[in-house]
Amino acid sequence: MGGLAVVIAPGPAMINNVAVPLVLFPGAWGVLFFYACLDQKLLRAYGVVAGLTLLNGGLIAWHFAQTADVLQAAA
Amino acid sequence: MINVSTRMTKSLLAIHGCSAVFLGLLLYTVILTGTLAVFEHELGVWANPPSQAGEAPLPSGIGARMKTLAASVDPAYLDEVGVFPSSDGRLMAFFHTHVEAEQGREAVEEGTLILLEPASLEELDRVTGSADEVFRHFGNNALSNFLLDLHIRLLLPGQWGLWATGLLGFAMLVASVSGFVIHRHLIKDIFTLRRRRADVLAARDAHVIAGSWSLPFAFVLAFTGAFFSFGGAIGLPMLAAIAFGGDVETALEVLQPEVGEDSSPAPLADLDLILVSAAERTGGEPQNMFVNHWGRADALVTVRMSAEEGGLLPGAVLYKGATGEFFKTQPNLGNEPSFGGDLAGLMSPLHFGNFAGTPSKIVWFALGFASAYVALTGMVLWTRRRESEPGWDKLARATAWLGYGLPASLAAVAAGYFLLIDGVSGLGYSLLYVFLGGLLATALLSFGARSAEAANRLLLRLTGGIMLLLPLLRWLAAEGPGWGMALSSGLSWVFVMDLCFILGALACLRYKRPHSSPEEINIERTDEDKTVAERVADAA
Repeated sequence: MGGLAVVIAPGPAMINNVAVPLVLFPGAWGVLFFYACLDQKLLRAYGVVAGLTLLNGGLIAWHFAQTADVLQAAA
Repeated sequence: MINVSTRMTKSLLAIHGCSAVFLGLLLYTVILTGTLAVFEHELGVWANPPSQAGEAPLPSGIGARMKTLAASVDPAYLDEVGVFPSSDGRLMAFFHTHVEAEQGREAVEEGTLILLEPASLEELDRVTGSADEVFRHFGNNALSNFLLDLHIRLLLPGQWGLWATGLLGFAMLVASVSGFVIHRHLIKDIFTLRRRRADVLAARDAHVIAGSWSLPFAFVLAFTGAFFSFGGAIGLPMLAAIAFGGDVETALEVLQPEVGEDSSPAPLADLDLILVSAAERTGGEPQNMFVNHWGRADALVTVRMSAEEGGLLPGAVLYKGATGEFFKTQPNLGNEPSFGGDLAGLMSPLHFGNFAGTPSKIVWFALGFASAYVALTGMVLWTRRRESEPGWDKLARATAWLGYGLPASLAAVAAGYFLLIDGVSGLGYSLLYVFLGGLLATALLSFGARSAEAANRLLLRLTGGIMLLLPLLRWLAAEGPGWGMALSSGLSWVFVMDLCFILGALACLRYKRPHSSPEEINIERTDEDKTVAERVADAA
């Protein structure tokens, strides 16, 4: 969910990147939950969930690094 | 019918059963209180009606009345002013400002709250203090607020309650999706009620019919409920921190309209004319009104409207306070219309069912009641099948306790409200003590009864008995209006609610549960006859 806030464009009202992931959160959680419960290969399920977690974390870290660079340049 | 492999069906059955067994009773609590909360305003009016119903949420003349009230409060509290109807139909005018709190704590709202009669706009009472203190001071909404607090937070403090109900929302989401996939004869089950078969099969069919009709609704409620609980508790702060890099000022700028600051004094324009203009401009009805910087040149008046005829999403109209000039219309969320704002705005009408007035509320109530019935009868059917086993008997009694003791305790809270309320004065934690006392008493009855079945019957009759007393207590103990006076004062909901409670009480008192022994319940049935819960057990 956090990664989506970085990927989705804010739009003219500047809120799409907050509102859309927020609404999609229960659905995204549900899909991941059922996938993790129903996948026959447990290791693959671990891998997919861990991969998505890392991808989200990476996107958020990259976004914060970009913001810090902009602030440093402005200072 | 959805074709899935046997292995996947077994997994889905296990998921469905686990979500029901571990969280079923708490889920039932949230669903039942949510079903009642659909009529939160009507319950508020019934419990503590004003002397005369208002012509509209913001009646004509409220603008002029607000100006006379503004002259009577501390000028510091003119920083932010709001006027809005409370659950019981009375009006609340809150004149307040934001006070910087000690380091490390959030700013608090402090001001004067004034309670007004909706028709005459007469002042009933006023109190000054922090927002928490002033809203707790009045007891006119205490019954509705208690119900909402139980539904939204399970009476838990702070964010813990939102976490708990968010988790229950996810459990309901899991149960409804897995129930849909493993439901083999959805269309057929919607119309199948074998009244002439064994009693237990008729009861089983009633459970499946209610479940089949309310399945899509349960999904919508679970999705929107999880959105509200988790969204408010963790989602929004986390996403806002990421999207705006933790910059609160930028976040606020995005959500609030830009008005140049000008603190020079200027009289406020005619608020009644602004309300008329807002109604003409949007085709909706003004629901509440807020004024920022009252008495300053940069004053801004925000009028929140109901959705226009045929529309689903409400919006707001903004006016410049000093001139009364139209400034802009504002969507439900954000400063400009957006896909994300509309998507988030849809969650409210879908969860509360208030998008088409009373008819949609009745549908939401009926489907909510069906969902609560499914949660309870699913647990009852499953535990009755195993009540001869020692461990399951405890769960059967716990199901009887919460299943039938919760409505009895809620009815006791309403009775306690009528016995304790004095005008509009606050009740503190009295209703919580009544509720906990009710739960304790019903627990003793459930676990002390001859059997879980006997406890069910006893608690159902207790609920009916208390419900039958409610109209009398409202009239005699709380000195509420009689039916004739209520109808002539435009308070028809008082009469309707009394009637609903009497009919509900008679249904509880006259209900005869078909009694079947565990052996009867375990009679050989075709695979088609088995409930989802039974198939979970078979799979296990």
